[in-house]
Amino acid sequence: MNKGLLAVALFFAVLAFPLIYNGASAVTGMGKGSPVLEKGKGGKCVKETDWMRRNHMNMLKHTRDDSVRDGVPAGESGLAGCVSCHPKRGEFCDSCHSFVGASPECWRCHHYPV
Amino acid sequence: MDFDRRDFLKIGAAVTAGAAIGPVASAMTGAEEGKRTGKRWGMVIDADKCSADCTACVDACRTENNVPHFDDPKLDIQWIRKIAFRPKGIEGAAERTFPAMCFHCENPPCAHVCPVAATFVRPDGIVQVDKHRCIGCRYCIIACPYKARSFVSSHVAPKEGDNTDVPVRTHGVVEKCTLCAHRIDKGEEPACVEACRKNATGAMVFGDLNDPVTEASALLRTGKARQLRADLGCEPGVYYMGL
Repeated sequence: MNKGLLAVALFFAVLAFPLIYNGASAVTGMGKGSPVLEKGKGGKCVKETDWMRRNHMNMLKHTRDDSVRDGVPAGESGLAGCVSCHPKRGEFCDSCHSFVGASPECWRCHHYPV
Repeated sequence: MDFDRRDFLKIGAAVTAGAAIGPVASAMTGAEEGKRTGKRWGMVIDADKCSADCTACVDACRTENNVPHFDDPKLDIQWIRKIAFRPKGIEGAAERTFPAMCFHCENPPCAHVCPVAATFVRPDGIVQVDKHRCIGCRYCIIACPYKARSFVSSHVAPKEGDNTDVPVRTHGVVEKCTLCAHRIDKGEEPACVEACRKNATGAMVFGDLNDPVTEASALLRTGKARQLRADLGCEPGVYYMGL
């Protein structure tokens, strides 16, 4: 009986290993060795860092459609807004994107200094 | 009142026929209902003032909009080009030219055929291509009677010296004159018009065609300006004088 309990406990311990291994970082969505971005100009983004980490792509797509199709200026929530505070793409977008293996196609057309 | 089965069927048939024909009839008369009101950006170009050896508008457009240059004329991208012609019926008449670009039609065939709604008309009358959405099928190139559109046949990366206000276009999308919408949104006039006024003869006049105080609408009221191939019913927003 005790043996069985031990086996079950071991099973769940193995199951939970990734969470324990990553520790608290799993909660914030950041893995081991993830890049730390410097704060841009002004020291404050248009949204919280955690929110931005998950949703910046949706926000950019949303402002993109609004500005291209409806003529609503994207302002600081658009791509140009990013550039105004984070002048170098290599130290900003690319550092995370290369870490997670994402390759958005924004820079094939849009201007953002590396 | 007697309301028998025969009357019921008659009324039913009449109502059904009315419901079917009504929308069709209103769609057919819709074209005559009048032009769209509100802002309507457009242009009036005086071909008499346009000199044959001047390319100020074409050069300004290339610089302003980062229009790439391909050596193969079949692939070359032209947002605005000079068209040469000789006046009919005059012996030995000299060759004359006028610039032609996207006419930003009120009934744009290019937008009608686009299967993904990438081409659309802005509320101020500018016909735009949403390059994020364009799949490069080139229906619009075939549909446009004015040959205003070009296909980007190979990728041109952003480079130093580009105008950073205008993104370059990637391989596989269709592009055309945007009437310099990015400049209009800032309250400026298109690059070609500015270049023509500053460096050439001022043959191009840009303005709101629906606003009676603009120079462009005043030129329209003279009755001398006309659209190219108005019979096609596209209602171009670019008018020509002296043709």
